[in-house]
Amino acid sequence: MEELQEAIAQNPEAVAGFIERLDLTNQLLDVVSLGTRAMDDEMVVNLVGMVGRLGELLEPASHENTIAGLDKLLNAVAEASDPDNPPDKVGLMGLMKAVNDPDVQKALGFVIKLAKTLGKKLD
Amino acid sequence: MKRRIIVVGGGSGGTIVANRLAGHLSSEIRSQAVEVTVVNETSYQLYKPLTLYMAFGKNEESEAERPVRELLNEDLPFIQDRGVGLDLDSKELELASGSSLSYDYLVLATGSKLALGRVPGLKESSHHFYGPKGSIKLREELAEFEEGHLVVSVVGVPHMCPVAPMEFSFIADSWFRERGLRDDVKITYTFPGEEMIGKKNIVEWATPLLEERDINLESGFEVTEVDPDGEVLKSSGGEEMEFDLLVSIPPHRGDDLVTGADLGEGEWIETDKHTLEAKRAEDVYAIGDATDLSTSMAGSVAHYQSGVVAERLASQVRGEVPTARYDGKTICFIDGVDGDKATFLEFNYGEEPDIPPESKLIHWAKHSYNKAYWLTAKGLL
Repeated sequence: MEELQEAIAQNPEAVAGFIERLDLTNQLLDVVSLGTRAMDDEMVVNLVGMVGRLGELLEPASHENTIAGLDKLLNAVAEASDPDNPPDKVGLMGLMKAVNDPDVQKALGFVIKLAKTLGKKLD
Repeated sequence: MKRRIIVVGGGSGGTIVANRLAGHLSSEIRSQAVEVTVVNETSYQLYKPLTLYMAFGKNEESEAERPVRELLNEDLPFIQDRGVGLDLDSKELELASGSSLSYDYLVLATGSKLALGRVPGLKESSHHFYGPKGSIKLREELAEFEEGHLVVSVVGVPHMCPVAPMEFSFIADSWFRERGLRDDVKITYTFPGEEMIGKKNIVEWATPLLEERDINLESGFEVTEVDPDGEVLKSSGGEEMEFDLLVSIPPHRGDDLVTGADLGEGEWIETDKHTLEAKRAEDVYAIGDATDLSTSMAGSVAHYQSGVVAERLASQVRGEVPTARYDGKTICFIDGVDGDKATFLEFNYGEEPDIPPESKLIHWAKHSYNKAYWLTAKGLL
């Protein structure tokens, strides 16, 4: 106790700073306490299961080629889904015409390569 | 022979119990030995806690609603219809469309509804935050309210989320303070009982905080009538209170399906507090606001009860003795102290909650949970 009083007398600012941090620590502990009280067994098991499955997915998803490919794909999905600029309906003639478009040719090449690779992995 | 479980209600309780059943009985459902069907009047679910924040422009209606179909496990059929009649002997649920569904087990998660018409003048003169329409109208009023008497009045008990009027008072206080209008706006919070809420520890925590913020507390004020022209609240004790803006917590009522089927003394289902079985019917469970239990009308109650009912039903379907029991578990946040601080409480039947000091971190936890809620509805969290 005496040691504590001496420490406070010698360096009151540091002790005040420490108490302030203790307040924050207590608030953090309250949030941890909230978590433990709110969760039940099933919620914990579900959460861990979901995180686990996400982890499994994240491993291949974090490959730099996958990220680059998915980034392009997702941006293309967003652009093609723009409600202000909806896609035209395309019949057989339209499809034939589209095949001559160099962008469509590139995308088709990607889809065919994807199908080939996927086919090998499905064996 | 296929066993049929029907869940009536697509709110928190209904979707969680159905999705938990889909987890417990996945192989039985895939092999078509069991079918779990959800029936709900609307195609979407409203996450009710957000409507409080909508009144202050903090959340939008689009954030509070999701299609029930999207929330349910894909193996569960969803029927958008209203249950209008129950034959408890032949185990049939009659739908508003004219068709009927037979069941082996029934879960009633029909919730509660507002009954503003029960108090003369209430509908014409008060605002509320218990639905997107009401909250958006209230938001417009609050945005223009610069001086006068704001009365937050608990007119009906029990009501959804017992701490919501307290939260509204705290948020309104900081809302007017931030706008430099607090000196011109008097806030009064009335409630019909001697205490604002049934838990002593909450009263002891909240009273000084409300008083320090100049929120007047008026206990024992049982509203019997509102004069819309004179803007006066009248109580059963003959008191009158003038207001410039009235935010009421209206009386609540049970679903007509429950009342019509005589499942309880009044409009709430007489329910076993531990097994959650309806006392007046065989193979019928009740969860959430629809029950007559003394637990709060809170989403967390429906959530924890759903887990118990799903476990019990899974056991029964498999011919095992159901053993899961509900112990009254309730978790509530009390948000909005100074606008950005919150605390939480957790208790079981007969317990008084411990209340940690209000903090910004708990406020953030509450708002994080609001975002993550849809995982709960899907039965994932």
